[in-house]
Amino acid sequence: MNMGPQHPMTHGLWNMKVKVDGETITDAKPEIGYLHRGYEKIMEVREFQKNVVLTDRLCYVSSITWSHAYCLAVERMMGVEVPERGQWIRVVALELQRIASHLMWLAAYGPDLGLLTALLWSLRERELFLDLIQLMSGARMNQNYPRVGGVRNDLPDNFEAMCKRSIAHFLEKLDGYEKLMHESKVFLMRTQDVGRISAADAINWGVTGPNLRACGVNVDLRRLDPYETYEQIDFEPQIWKGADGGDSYARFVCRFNEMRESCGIVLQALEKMPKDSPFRTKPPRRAEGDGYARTEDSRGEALFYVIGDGDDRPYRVKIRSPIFCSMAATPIMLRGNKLADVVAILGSIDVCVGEMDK
Amino acid sequence: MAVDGEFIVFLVLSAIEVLASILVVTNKRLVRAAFWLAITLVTIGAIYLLFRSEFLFLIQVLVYAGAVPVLFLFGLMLTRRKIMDEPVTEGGP
Amino acid sequence: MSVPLVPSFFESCRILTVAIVWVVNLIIRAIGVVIPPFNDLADWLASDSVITVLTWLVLMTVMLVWTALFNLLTVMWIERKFYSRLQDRYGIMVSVWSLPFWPFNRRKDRPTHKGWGYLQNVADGMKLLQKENLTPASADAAMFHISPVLIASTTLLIFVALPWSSGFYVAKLDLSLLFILAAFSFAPFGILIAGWSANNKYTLVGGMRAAAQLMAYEIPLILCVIALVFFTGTLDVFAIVAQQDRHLVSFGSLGIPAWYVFSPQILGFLIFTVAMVAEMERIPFDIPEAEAELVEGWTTEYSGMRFGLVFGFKWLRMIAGAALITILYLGGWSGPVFATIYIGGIAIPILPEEIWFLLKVWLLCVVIVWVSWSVPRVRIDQILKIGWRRLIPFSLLAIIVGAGTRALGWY
Repeated sequence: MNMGPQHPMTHGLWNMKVKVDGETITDAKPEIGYLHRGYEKIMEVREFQKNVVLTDRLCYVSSITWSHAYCLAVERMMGVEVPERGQWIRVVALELQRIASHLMWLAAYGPDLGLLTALLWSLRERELFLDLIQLMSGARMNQNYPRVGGVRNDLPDNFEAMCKRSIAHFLEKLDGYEKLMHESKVFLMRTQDVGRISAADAINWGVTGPNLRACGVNVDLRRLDPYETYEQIDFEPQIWKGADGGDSYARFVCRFNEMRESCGIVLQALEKMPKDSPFRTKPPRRAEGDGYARTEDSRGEALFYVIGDGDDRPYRVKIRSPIFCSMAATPIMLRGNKLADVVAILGSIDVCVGEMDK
Repeated sequence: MAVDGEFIVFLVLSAIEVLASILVVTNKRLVRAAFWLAITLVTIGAIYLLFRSEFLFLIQVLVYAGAVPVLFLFGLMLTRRKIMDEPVTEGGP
Repeated sequence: MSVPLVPSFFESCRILTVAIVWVVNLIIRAIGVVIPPFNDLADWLASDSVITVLTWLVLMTVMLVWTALFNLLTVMWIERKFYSRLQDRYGIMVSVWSLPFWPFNRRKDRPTHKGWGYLQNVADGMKLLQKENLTPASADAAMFHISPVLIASTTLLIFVALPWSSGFYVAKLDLSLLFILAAFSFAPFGILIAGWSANNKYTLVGGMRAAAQLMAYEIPLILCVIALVFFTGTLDVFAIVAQQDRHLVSFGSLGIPAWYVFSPQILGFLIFTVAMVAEMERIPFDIPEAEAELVEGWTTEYSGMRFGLVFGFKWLRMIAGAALITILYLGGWSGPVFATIYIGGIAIPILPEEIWFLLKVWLLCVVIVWVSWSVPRVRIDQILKIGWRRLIPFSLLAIIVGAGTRALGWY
């Protein structure tokens, strides 16, 4: 049976071939590539700084994290050091984008299960964060904000006050969401024991991010391989504690709690960042060498490997997307479940086709 | 037997019922046979109604027309491997 | 305790018909002055048998308009407005001020699409009428066309036996409850045929799921009715409502009414409501129409007004279901307070029975909509598990409780 490419359930454009026996799934094969835009090739014809426009659109829901990963890779290749305030601003931007991305996931996941109210409530909260991101960078999505060497502009004066107000409001609303979802018996019925993947399988298939942390594995790149100023921030990676992890409910809980942690990170970063200091340095135009950066994107481990050969554009850019590996692991999650659970499972791994197909 | 309105209605209902039951057994498409089966059962119930046993008519509709054709269609749909042509979606990128 | 606004619907329609025939007869007799045979036509029109036939036609039309136009529009409006407010948005806003003709387009300072939203559903119906009625090429055309007719007609049949007050009804049957349940039970057949005949994997799956769910939940429904019949002793909805028209406990002129929801039948009430929500195919039981998975489920291939029929009749079934719950457990149209004032022996209703009934039905619809839009969808095998494994034992318990309390004379 063919689910997609034109299907309201599949957020984005990909095809899923499931073999069904009655109502139980025996095998599944994802077919991707419908959104392949040839990123790795077209990034070779643009200068380093101008590629940020493209990397924004790799995963359009979570653009700052992807552009930041690219900038980090290029900086490591060029040997450029970002000033401290720039690093702190990047942390704030990343975490705000992470919250916005998770809210978008929630807005897509609720209606998958039939809870259409979640769509509107999540999007309403997302507006708060899109407003903050707009205040910070000038645009709501695809902001073109990180630069090789820092960020595009400094935080405006009223940013801190507005940020604190928005986050206070949001944390209140999160408690309301918990009542709507965590404590709803039907929600638990739909998501618990559904789409289970063991920790060993997840590691073998390269699943990362909240999908892996839901299996109980303590892998958060912000702690494991810290970048920017994450070492100076006190936060806790959300790992599923308990024996029965790896199902949709665990993934949901991990991603949900990450939103709370990100709020804490933003507030800490706003406290700790140095005021009135440079946020950007000018990188060299041409560069030679190679650099790689792996960051904790909203969906997992995003890795960029950039090779320069002395020209002002990259020689080769290699992108590793977390959803590419999660998608490969979906047959394991789907086998043995009912056909009606496909939406609950695929929604819980937070597919973003842009980064999967590049 | 007096040829009054009741008799006429009885004749009409019986004609429909006999016709429908013939269509049940002669139709090549099984789903249509199930449909005519439902019509047959409802018309039999209508004849009960004509004989002033409303309870029997309602029970006939409730049990027979509501459940038996559905059972028939379920059995039909769950056991046939190829009910319809597969839509052509195999040509991909 | 309260009286109906319309003491006898048949009489009211007869008066209306007589008035219409009289007006028409004026015209015919005017023509008859010139052409004599027309006078006989006028006499024939005014004869009793013709008047009776015309009265029945008028009665059915008025009831149809009342149910499938006014009530449907109102309940759809209530639902859409209510769940929009739950979701923190304004909701539908097309009202009379959006009409492009006089006198509604006179005020230039008023925003056109920011009204109460009552006419949005009319606008949606118009939109559906203008769409092309497609039939898939490889579908079984006869079955495809006939299944919406089956579903629509059996749903409308419910309203023949469903009264809206003690005077506002089409037919007073002895076995009206059974009639309503029989008309309800015809739906799985229509849905199954609709799902199959569109020649589409998704609709077939949707249709089978719908039929399985509806059949599974009919059983607790009927078992709860059996439990109730121990108390009422009759299947006549008029008698059932009349029995609830008294006070259980009185505090002067107020008191707790003797509705069956306050009796040991409360368990039956809960089971019946849950089973009815499943029969109405509402979220949390709307897997047959699960939008995220199966586009529109078994109604996917329908377009234009055929889709409008099936879609609209889902709401009509909701009204019928809520009305049934109200009649059986919530006292139907009996109002506990603000009943009547007697002026010179004539009972004048302050809040007539129709208003009580409508209030209860609409309030029940609001509660059902509230629950619908707050919970996710239950998976089909979980739905069937709940139906067969949980509801049936509880409804059997309700029967035992009903029979036991009746036998012991406690109620």
